[in-house]
Amino acid sequence: MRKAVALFLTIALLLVCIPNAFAARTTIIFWHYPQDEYSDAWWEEWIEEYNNSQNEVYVELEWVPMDGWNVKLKGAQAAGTAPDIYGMPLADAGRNVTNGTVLAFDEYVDPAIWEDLTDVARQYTYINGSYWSFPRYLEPSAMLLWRKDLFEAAGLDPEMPPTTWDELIETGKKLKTDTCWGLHIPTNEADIGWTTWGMQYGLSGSLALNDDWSKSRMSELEGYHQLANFFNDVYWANIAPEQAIYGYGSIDALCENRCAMLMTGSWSLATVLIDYPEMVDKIGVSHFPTPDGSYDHATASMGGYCVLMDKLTEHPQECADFLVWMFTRDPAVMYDFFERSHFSKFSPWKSVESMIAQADTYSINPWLETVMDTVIPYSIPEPIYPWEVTYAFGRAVNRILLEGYDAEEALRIADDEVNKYIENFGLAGQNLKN
Amino acid sequence: MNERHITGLTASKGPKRSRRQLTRQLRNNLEGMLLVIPALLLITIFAIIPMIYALFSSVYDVSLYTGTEFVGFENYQRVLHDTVFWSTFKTAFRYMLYVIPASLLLAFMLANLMIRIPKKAAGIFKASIYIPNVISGVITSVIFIFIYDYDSGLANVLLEKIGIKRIGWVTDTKYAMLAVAIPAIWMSLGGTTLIMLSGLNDIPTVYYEAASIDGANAFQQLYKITLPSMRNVFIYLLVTSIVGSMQVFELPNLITHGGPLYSTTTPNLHIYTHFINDTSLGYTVAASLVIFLLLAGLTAVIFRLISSEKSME
Repeated sequence: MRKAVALFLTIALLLVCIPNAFAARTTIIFWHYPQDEYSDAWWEEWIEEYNNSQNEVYVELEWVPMDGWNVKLKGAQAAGTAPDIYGMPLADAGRNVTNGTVLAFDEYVDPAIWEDLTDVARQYTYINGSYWSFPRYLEPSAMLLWRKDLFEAAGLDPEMPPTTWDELIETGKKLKTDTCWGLHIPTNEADIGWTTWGMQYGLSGSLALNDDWSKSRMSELEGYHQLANFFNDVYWANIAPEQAIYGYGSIDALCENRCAMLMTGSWSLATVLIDYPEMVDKIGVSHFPTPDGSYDHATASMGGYCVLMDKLTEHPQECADFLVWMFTRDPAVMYDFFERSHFSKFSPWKSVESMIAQADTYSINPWLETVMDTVIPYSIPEPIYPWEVTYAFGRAVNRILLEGYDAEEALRIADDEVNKYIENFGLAGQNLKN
Repeated sequence: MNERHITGLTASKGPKRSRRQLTRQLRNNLEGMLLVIPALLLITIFAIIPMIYALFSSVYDVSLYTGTEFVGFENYQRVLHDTVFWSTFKTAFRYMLYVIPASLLLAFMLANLMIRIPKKAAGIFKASIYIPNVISGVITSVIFIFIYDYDSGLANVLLEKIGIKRIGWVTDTKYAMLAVAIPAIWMSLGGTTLIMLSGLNDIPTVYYEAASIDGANAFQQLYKITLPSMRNVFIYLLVTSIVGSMQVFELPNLITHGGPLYSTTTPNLHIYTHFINDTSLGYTVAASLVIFLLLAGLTAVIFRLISSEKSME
């Protein structure tokens, strides 16, 4: 009997003590979606380092697949079980501020850390007088990659990519064979919409919405007409697949000889360097062609990723401390990320930029100079207006290609769709200010 | 005549029953009620309460983080004035036209084939035709995404073999619905065929023997015996297919993402897209309720037709 009582008491004591032992450490839930292997490994290794470096906070990293991300996050927010912090595209910081789903970091960090932000990054994170995100990296969204060996085989100069739209189409015709497309560009409405933000701005001098987001003006802007007609010209030249072979983020079509020229973002450079090292000498990189061949106006938008803090987190201080540890305590942490990316991405933090400047980056990434000189200086930040506006332009292009509309009519319908959305969701006056 | 007579209580009284009989009846009723309670609880938790909550939410501008604001019928107005919302019903109707006739016709032909071949072969045939039924919609979608690959997908390779130009199956408005309908037919064929087969097996063979003696040919037997005898099977399959088609979500979501130009955006996919993208849930909830009412109405009409005397003849 005494043994049984002793056993019972021991178990009861353990049950009381064990949870307390665990409770001593605050757990932060961090959601991110898997990206490149090197990027995921960077998160995992440095988070482990952080967890081992102290006993107060435990960061639990959960990988959530990109295709289920929106529904899982929305579901968790509805159920009150959203993660404490989560990774997101840079421009989504603004959308989350509008939606009221994120918490500003101002109260929880030393304001001096923000002085280390580059101007481009500050545009994304400093909104309505507060800092809302820790930016991780920047990258231009649209460039032209081409296969030098296929240019040579077609009797073209492998070092001379097309610079105008007309040249692009003519070159595409010369490069197209039975098994290899001349050009690969996005074909679905969402990709057509967002990958051309830079071109939309570069050609029009502004984006689809007016400054206070009260009106869509695509049909009024000549640049939108030009861009929509460019997609139409490519379509009818029959140099690109009507249905993209791979997603916009993929380099595979170019490396697997299925296209000779590819529109893609700078992330693809890391993929070539890591996954297709034998192709490095065969691939050239330039800004995406423009109507007149000049590159001194935007051809790409400058996107990237950041980490946001959920508005309802119970541990805002712990979240902020972790992010400060990762992003601003020691530039070596972020430098490690850029080194793993073969310097295909760009730092939003000046101190990290300085470290990168000391490294022999041009020998690691042979295309870096071109990207730094001809793409990045003219890139624009991604717009933070709702995705519906972006999709509307994609649909306008498809109306021209698939339904035979002219650009004027297709863009007018797009304007009508967006203006209806503005009216339905009270968008007017919601544009956020830095 | 007083109310007791109208409700039939008087009629049920009959001869006086003993107390023991009443107790037994009460116990039986109690047992029945106890058995119903779990189902009733589940329906209350997962259907009735959410429905009441949805009705309540639909008149508010519901935001997950920034509080709610009473907006009256504004959400309903937005839904009812949304041209895309109404176009999703046209899409669902187009989907029905693609899927239901083809599915019923193919299943009918296959079922007729199966009752004519040897039993062993029919068994293998049945099993193989039913396999797509047990494959999830997600896996089916992935399989067909590969089939519709523009460059190396089976569909375009076959078209090229017969001299037809490649098709942008999921990016061309002319073919996107077909691209969704083909896997839908493939998935539903097994179940539909087996139901048809059981219907065919229920028709007494003497009908056909008598018809043969009277000199009826195969077409006359089909028209005068098989089709009339299968009417209730057809009605059942038609009803379930119509209701299922109105609710289709997985295939268009994964294969075409509702595009291009909303040509495969079905009502449920439209709601889902708004749930994911909107800043508030008001539109989503109101649209769900409107679709629920329309579907309930459609189902009621169909069941009314089915349960009518005419259909039971």
